[in-house]
Parts: sequence; C-alpha cells; structure tokens
Amino acid sequence: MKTIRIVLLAAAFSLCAAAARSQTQLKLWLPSSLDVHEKGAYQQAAQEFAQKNGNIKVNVEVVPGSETDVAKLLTAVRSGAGPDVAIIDRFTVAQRAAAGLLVDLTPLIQKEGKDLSQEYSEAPWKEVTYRNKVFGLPTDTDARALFYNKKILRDAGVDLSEFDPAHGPISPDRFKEIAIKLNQTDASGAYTRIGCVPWLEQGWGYTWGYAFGGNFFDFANCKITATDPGVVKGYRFLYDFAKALDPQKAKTFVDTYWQWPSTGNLPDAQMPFYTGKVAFVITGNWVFATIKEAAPNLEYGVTYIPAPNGMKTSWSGGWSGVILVGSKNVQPAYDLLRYLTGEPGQLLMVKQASSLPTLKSLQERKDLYAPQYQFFLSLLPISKSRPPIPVGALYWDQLKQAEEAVITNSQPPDAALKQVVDEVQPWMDRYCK
Amino acid sequence: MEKRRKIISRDLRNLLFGLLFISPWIVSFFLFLVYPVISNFQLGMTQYSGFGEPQWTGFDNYRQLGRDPLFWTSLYNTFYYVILAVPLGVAVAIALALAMNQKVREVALYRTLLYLPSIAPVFALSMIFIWLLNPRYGLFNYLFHLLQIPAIDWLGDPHWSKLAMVLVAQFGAGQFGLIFLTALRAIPGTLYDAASLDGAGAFRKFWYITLPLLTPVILYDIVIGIGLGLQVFVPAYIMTGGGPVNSTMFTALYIYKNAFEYSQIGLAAAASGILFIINAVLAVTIFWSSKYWVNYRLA
Repeated sequence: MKTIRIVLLAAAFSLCAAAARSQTQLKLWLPSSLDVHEKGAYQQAAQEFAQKNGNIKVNVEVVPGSETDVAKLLTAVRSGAGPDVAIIDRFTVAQRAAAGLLVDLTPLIQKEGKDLSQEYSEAPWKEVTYRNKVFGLPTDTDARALFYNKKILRDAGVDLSEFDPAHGPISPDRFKEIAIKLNQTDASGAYTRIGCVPWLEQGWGYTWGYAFGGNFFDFANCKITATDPGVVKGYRFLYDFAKALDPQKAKTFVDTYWQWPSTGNLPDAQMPFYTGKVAFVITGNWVFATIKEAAPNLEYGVTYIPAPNGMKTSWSGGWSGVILVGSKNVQPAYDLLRYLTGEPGQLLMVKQASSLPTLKSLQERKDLYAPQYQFFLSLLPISKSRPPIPVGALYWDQLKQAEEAVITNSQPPDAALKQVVDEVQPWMDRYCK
Repeated sequence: MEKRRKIISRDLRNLLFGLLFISPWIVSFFLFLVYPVISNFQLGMTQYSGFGEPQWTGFDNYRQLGRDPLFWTSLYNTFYYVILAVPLGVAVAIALALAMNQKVREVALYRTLLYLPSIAPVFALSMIFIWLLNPRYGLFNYLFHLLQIPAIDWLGDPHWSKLAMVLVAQFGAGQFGLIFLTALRAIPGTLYDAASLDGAGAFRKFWYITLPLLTPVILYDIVIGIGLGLQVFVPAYIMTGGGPVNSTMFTALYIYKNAFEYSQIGLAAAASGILFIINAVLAVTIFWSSKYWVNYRLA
C-alpha cells in the first residue's frame, strides 16, 4: 500500500513538472515612472490574457525606468535576462529600434493578415514605425490642456467665461496678465502663490513651441529645427514669463512646492495645483483619476493651451508595447502585446487610468467617456506628437536644458535653441545617410 | 655553482607558489579590471548602441567629445566638485577622528554617533537631503533663518547646487574618519609628552606632530577621494538629474546618459577612457609628489 502511495505521489509530481514545462512563461516589464493606475491596468490586462490562455503565464515586473531612462532594460536585454515584452514611451520607439533593441513586428502583423495601421490613430502609428517597419504597438494616448482653479479666479474677480473652450484659446499676453495678478507673496517677498508657472508639469518646450506654431523636425531634409521661429517664440514666452516672475524667486517657489511624483517625495494630494498654490497648470487627461482621489473637492475647469491668433493646439504622448530582442517566445509575446494594445487592454487603460485610446474604434465609442473626456477627445485630431526620430531622447533632454536656461534667464531663447541644434544634429546626421 | 642553482630553483619554486596563492587576485585583476579597461578603449573607437556589431570609427568619438560643450561643462563641474569635496573631506575626516579620539567616558557612544551617517547609502542620504535642503521648509534654511542669513535655493540655484553636493558628500566622511582615528592612535604618546615639556600648546602639537604623522593616511584619502570624486554620480542622479542648467552634470552622469538613454555606448566609453586617464595622471602625480610631503618615519 505504502509503495503504491509513493508511486502515485511520484506520478503526480511528474505530471505537475511536465505541465510546468509545457507552460510558456512570459515576462512583462513596466517602467516605474508609470502612475499607479496605469500599472494596475497593465497588470490586470496581463492577468486576463493569462487566464484566457491557460498555457501562458505572464510575470509582470515593475522595474526602474522612465520615459528616456531605460538603463535597466538595456543591460538586462544585453545580458540575455531581459523581458519578452516591455512598455516604453512611444516617442523613443524609433530610437530603441535604431539601436537594435526591438524585434521587428512587421512579419508577425503580416502573418496575422490585418492592416493594423488602419485600426490605430495616425500619429501613434507613425511613432511606432521606423524605416517602414513596425517596432511596437501603441497602448494609450493623451492630450494636454490648460487646467484652471475656478475658485481662485472667481475670488480674484476674473471673468471665467474668458476660459470657456467655446471662445477658443486665450491669447498668451492676456493669459500672462491674468496669471501675474494672482501672485501672492509673504512678508519676505517669497511667493506663496503664483498664478501660473508655465513650465510646470506639462509645460515643456514642446507644449509652447507647438502653441506658437513651431515645428521641431524637418523630415524632408532630416534636420533638427529647434530654431524654427515658432519654437523660438514659444521659448521667448517662457523667458519673458520667468522674467516677470523673477526667475530665482519662481525657481525657489517650484523647488519648495513641487517635485516630480515619480521621485516619490511628494504625495499627489500636495501637488501645487490641488493645494491652490498655483491657479493654472498645463497637464493632461490622466490627472482626472488622480484628482478624483487626491483632490475630490477641487473646483476646476479645462480649456485650450493659450496660443496666439486663436490657434488650438495640443500634443500627445503615450506608451507602447514592444518585444525585446532575445525573447524566446516571440509569437506568445506578440499575442500578449495584441491583448494589451487591443480593445481589452485599452479599455482597462481608459477606465482605470483616465487614458485616451489609440484605437479608432474605442475613440468613437462616446458611451465610454465622462463629459470631461470629450474635450480631450476633441483635441486628438489637432494634437501633435514629438518627432519619432532615432535621437528622440537626446533631443528631449536638450530641449529641457534649453528650457532650463531660458526660465532661469541665463540664456536668450535663440542662443539656447541654437545650442540644441548644434548638440543634436551631428547625432541625427548619422541616421540621415 | 651547484648551490647557486639550488637557490635559483628554490626561489623559482617559491615564486610559483606565491603566484599560485595570489592567483585569485591576479585572475580577477586581469579579468575584471585590465580587460574591461582595454575593452573600454576599444569600444571608444566605435559607434555602438549596445546591440549588433560595433562599427569602427577611429577617433571620431573623441573628436565629438571635444566639440561637445556639455562634455566640457561636465568636466568643469566634476573638477569643481573634486577640488572642493576632497580637501574638505580630509578636513572633516580629521576633525571627526579627533572628536572620536577624545578621552571621555562616553567615547563609544560619540564614535557611533559620528560614524552613523556614513552607514547610510548615498542614495538614501540624497533622498533625505532633498527635504533638508528644501528652500522654504528645509532644516538648513531654517537654521540660516535663525541666524538671520537669507535662504538659499540649494538645489535650484546653479551657483549653489554643486556646493550642495559637496555638503552631502561630507556626511560620508566617517569612513575616512575611522582610518584617521586608527592612525591617530598609532602616534606614540611620548611625542606629545616631549612636546608638552618643551612648552608646545595644543595647536603646535597638532601642526608639528599629529598632522605630519597623519600624512600617509591623508595621501590615501586624497588618492581614493579623487577617484571617487571623479566618479560622482548618485547625488546628482537622485537630487537634480544634472540640473539646474547643467550645473550638476558631472562626467559620470554624462557618461550614463549617453550610454543608457541615448544608446551611444561608443561615445560613453570614450568619455570613460578620458576620465580614466585623468584619474591615472592625477594619482601618479600625487604619488610622485608624496615624497615631498608624506612622512613615513614614524607611521
């Protein structure tokens, strides 16, 4: 009897081991800079995929990384310990593809027999395409707009109808005039409230460059166009705004009250827009989920980014799923990718992370969105994106440095932007041949 | 003749045994130090993203670095940091050692307290200092406020950001303080007794006895400090990301960004090679100069 029991036990173990061997293990990496709602949505989508595909197990890991910093991913892939699938910032796909980090998805898409380019919006699809090959699939997208604190404006006697989207964007001069009036200082002269710090949150160089009609890259001639007149005007706006605030006093204010949430130092509830330390902020649709939790009583409105001549502008970013070279499970990884970036995955992103979908079919489903999303959905057709070029991360960092030089008034905009061109163009030239 | 041959053969055997015993170190030295250094110089001559085959480009990367104003800024920042942080680090470490060497009953407690900040990883220290250096609510500016000194935006003002990094570095001085303490305790008490009999005061005893006899440790501290200073990375990576206006863009951070954010491993390797050469030249120069100022006679 005892012998039979041992034999049965051994047989059960063998069966379990065989089952484990036959199960495909996929590794999905999420960058730590994703917010908690985004991470949750990806994790749930991965779980759902695994449940529907019993022979596949998905191990989701959050690893250190941000939009441009993928050190952990690079070294892991290089050493053969990388994931099968990773979520990376979409505007860096071209750069990572050029570096040889990503698997070309074109044959897998062709094998599937679908024209995916028709299923996704044009801008995100362009971002995942490099030299006519597809290296990633777009997950979500977003758009940027001006958020304003209704209570502060009302208390200061500002006519809120000036910020009604129906009237189009407010002019940058008028915006500056209103914002400066809302500044408050303490006895020492330090700011306790600033109407608007236009470079805070999503007020990047791209935001203001596009708002003033700028163009950041000339695809026809393979040229970095950071000195385009529109871009210079955008940076000039930041320069003059900083000057009006006093650059050092504004910097002290920002360093006191604001840090990137990704550093983990500042809880969402203490973000200056939520606490009334600033009356305006440029940010995107993803904050709806955060506001709901961190500042449920905030009375705010959303409108177009200030721009000259009533020009409606915005720009969109978002993430994408990619398969890394060295993956031994390319087909199952592709299936996972399709699930994450297909309707089931994107629905979770919309519902849990306040994201906008890149799939046209979901963008058309108006029943999915609360009223405040409609404004952002309406921005998508006019929204631009960062140029998908193989030196995208370098260009981004250089534009940030130029922005820093400008907001500290340590360099005039044209000189700072010329430096960007001088720095990035030689690297771009290597890919222009 | 026969005897001499025996000696040679014995010496040879001893040498072989000796080499065998230190072979783990020799193998590690060549495998993990010499090979990577040579390989790094090789990589510095290529265009390489980390994947695929490196493409030989000769001295292109070095020319590119020469033209890149950011690289020169990073070198300037790094030297600025080293020139301030290393001597200050020596002074703080000696001060800590002197404090830990006091003949008081609670010396063990003081030693623990003075050494404690050195245990904290630089990463954790940096995170804490983001708060301590907050321009409005930070402890440092609060103390300044009490002393009627205007507040400083330590990490946001390009004029102060590097000094903030130097300040953070001093919290790791306890490591060297411990070595200085050992050296202090090795100084014979008779020297101080003799000096006292000759009427020397505390300062003269420190200047003419303590300091000269600490010079071997000072040499060690400077050489190691310069090596670590040239590679300063973590505080800038955590606290400022290289800003504001590139004022904390140290060479190591520049290398990291190029290698891991821009996929320019070749350029990063070339910059690392330059940093290595600078470090080696400085180390050799300091060792050469040590014969003029380091006192080994009683050490």
